[in-house]
Amino acid sequence: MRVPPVTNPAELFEKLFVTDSKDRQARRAQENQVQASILDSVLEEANRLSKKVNQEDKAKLDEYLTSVRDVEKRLELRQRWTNQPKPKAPFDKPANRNAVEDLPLLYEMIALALQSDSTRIATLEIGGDFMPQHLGIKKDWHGLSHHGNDAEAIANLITLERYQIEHYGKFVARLAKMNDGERTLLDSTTVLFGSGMGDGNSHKNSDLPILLAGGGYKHGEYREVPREGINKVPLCNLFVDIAQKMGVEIDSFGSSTGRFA
Amino acid sequence: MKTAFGTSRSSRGARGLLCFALATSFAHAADDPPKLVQQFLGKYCLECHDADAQKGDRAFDAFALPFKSVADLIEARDIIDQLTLKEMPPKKADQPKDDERIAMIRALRDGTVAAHAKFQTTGSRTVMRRLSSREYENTLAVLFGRRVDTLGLTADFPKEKTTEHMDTIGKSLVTSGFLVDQYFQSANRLVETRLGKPATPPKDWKFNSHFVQYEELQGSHKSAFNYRYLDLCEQPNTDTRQGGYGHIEDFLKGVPVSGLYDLEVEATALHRDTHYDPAIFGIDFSEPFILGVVPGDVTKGHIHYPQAIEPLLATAVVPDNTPTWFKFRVWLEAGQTPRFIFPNGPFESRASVVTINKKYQDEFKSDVGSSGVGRAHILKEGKLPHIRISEIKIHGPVPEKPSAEELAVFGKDGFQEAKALGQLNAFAEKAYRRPLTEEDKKPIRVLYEKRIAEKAAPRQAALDSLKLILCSPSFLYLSEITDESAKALKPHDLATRLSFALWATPPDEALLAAAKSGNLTQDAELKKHIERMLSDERINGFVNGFIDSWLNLRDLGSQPPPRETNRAYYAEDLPSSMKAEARLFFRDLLKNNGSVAQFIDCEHTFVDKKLAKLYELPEAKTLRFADGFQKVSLKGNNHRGGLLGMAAVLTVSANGVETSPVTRGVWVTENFLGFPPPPPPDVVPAIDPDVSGATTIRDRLAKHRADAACAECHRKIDPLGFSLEAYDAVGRWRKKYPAANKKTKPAEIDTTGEFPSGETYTDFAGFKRVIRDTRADHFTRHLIRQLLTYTTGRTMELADDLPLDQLQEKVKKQGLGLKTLMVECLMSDVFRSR
Repeated sequence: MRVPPVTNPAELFEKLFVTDSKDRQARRAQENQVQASILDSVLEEANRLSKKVNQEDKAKLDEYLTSVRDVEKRLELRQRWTNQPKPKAPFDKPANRNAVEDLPLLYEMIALALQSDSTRIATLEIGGDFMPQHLGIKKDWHGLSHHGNDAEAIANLITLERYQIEHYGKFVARLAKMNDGERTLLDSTTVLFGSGMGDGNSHKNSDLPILLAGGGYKHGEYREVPREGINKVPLCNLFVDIAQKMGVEIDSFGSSTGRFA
Repeated sequence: MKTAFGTSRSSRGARGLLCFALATSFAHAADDPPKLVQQFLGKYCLECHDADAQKGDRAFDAFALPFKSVADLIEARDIIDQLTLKEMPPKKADQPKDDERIAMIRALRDGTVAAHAKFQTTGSRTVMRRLSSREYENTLAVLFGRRVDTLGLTADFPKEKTTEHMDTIGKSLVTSGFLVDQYFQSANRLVETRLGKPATPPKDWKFNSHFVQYEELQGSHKSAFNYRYLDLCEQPNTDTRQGGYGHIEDFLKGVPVSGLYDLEVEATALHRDTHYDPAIFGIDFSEPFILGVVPGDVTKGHIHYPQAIEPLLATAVVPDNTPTWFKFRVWLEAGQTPRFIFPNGPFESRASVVTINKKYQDEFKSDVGSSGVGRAHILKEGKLPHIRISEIKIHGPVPEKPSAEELAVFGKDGFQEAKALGQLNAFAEKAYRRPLTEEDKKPIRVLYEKRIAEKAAPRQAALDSLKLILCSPSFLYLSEITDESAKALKPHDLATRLSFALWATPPDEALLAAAKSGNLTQDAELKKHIERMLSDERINGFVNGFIDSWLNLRDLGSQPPPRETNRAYYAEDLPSSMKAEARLFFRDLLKNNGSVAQFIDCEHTFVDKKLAKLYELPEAKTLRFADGFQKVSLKGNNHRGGLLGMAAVLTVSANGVETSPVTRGVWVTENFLGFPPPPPPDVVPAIDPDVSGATTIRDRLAKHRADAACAECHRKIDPLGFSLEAYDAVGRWRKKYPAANKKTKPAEIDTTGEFPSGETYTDFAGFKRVIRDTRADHFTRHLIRQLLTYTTGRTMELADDLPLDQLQEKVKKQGLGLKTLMVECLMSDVFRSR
């Protein structure tokens, strides 16, 4: 399930660096307490209902019960997060500009968040609000992606994509300069870049452009794997590797057929 | 399990033909259905669909009567569909004679009916479903007696998962920890902002200076008139954002508490008669300027940009040249500040300044300097069309005793400490939509007392108990508790199902009373309520939700067309008008019990001025924006009529940039006829769009179909989309594809096509005729299925085939009226069972 994103640098800055006022902390604690009592109560109620409902509804109610237990854990984490002092902000709260100009700033804050261990996972989506006009191109991205093999449209797309790759490169370089104990932060961070479409024009979802950096993998090569037949290696195999490396105990994901390596 | 070529179950047309005598050659086999099936398959199907070839992923070697599994039944249904549509065997292969075809269909149908009894005990039950985000918000608005869209309670909820675009299916409405957490956050915010606010005496604010605007406008507004005016120069949703939202700089913190506020605004429409080239602005200057009010929250995002919570609070038409006072009473939440918009304002302000400098520089008397005419010059002496606000007064919160929320939640006397538990129980009864048991009451009492023990004030303890009720599974889920053996819904569950189905809100008092008396489960009483609810305004809850689901219009707008070639789409917010047309058309058929055949073809539709322009109707000249939507005749119009000629459908079935007979054909077969095509095979040669003009999509598809694996599906899909190529990606009629550049000639559009069953057409009108003459039953069938799917909250299964047959028969006999169809569906056992 897609968790709603933080949509701009200012909001991300607040989450990472701004400690709540004492007043607000007290109110949060109060809210958390009420929520904990409510969770206890609805858990009991759902258990009671579970004895009455029909077979086909049990599974649904279990889904609710599992969710409630999950929130209990979240609540603990949230309480800890509220009380924990935030890392010192290295710069002032930024003003939001646009998805193009904000991209380097978002990467920088992700690097800082990883470095300060405020999070261990970050996802950055470059979506429909990435407007080419901010790179001097008076076309919209969606229209350009259906380039119809028009040379000018392709040239524009290259400009957009180069900008994105460059900042990805800078981000990786930044992580390589940050320390994480004995290693660099890049050594302990797997950084995946890519797109869900191999070619926007034909809308094909094979031959995806995927870059993998960091994480202590063996790098520096273009890995071509069988793409057809019984031995074909789906991208999902790589995701299994990444998950396992992060300590998630799974042996399959999506359409995976095994591990990548 | 494969995805079938069709999930539609029956073949009305074929059934009608069953009375024909069978030809002699099959007469002996007809007495022995298993043999007949075996012979038919051997003669016409196995060549391609045996274990070796498995064309279309199908092998019928082991397929035989009597059916042994649900998989067999699905297979049988597919074969019936293919034979009915005459899509199989393929045209180049030997064709069965009509009597053979019919005998085969009958054998498979009889076999299916016989097998039904065996498999009927599985499924066909609605899985306990929770309220969808949409229903959840509606429900809170009813329970709290006032709009809640100003709070954006579900803005952070995960997007709902859908099944066949339906957002009411119990199985796919999943609950996660994230969502359960959000339920509490939402309840907390709603209860605290609306019932926990401190008593606040009304206050007055007045603003007539220091109207600092969007960053880029500040220099010019300061130099032109020292921030004396708030100028709105463009519509709110532009790319370049140069002041689409006018805010009050000295009121950024917004109102102190949620409440009703009286807003007085002095505004003037300026230069609507501008002599500048109208193309610069891209709007209709014959229309008066409109001023709108939306809330903004400086803590939730940029005050000049669109924000997640932005319901339109008020609008007014602004007279030209004369400053005029407007008075609005609007609801604002704590922290919200009013923002002013110009919804029919110029398309883009930044570009207009550049063009004015270029084209009209000589008109300016003042020395414009080396950088040319800037915004400040234009404000001082130019003719830039805009709305000017000169003064704003705010008064509030307007006292309400008791508030609408207090009244709705605690009753006419407001919260009473001495009656706290009784008041909370009364609220819970409304929230749970049924009488409470002692077990329901206990946790409410326990939490209330616990909060008191924790030194919370009684009112606060009651508010916290409200939050508990709003997080309870009894509130969030339509529980539908019946005995394991019983199938019929009990009265309260039926009332709830009916109400969410038709109004997308909880049952009203009349419905609850009928449930309480137990009468609701009786036919006459149920019918009375269905008819009452169908003719109530709230039926829009159904119409909007169902159309979004059935036609997938929820996705309208998700694939934006390029701005430069589709100005009106953005400047006039065409997607809203497109949706409105489909909704009004449906609503009108429902009201007048018009035949559902009119969805296929019809001599009227509903348009506003914007759609009339898009459709090139004569009404484009006579209609005004203020007229809204009107019913218009389409007599003699070959371009429009029926759902397939509606811009909403044509837009959602294209990708915003280019069109394709494939995506449109898939839309038609999936949403209109009810045969979802199988997904494309894993390895498929891509169809690479090309704008060089050398080939059209049609040429490329022909090449694609030359590949046998592709042809298998495309010969069925593409003919459903060829005639729709006469519409561009936003539903405008066209004769030619756009030219790639000035040198190439635009390619002509070929709108002819041939169905796999042999019918041909030359254009859209002919295409509709084929659908009407040969596939109308499939359309009706699909509509009934989708209607029951949406209203019951579950997908229709094999066991529903027979009841659906009977329903269709009944509706057809009564003339196919949409209202008849709905009443019959809602009166059916399928709807009334758990």
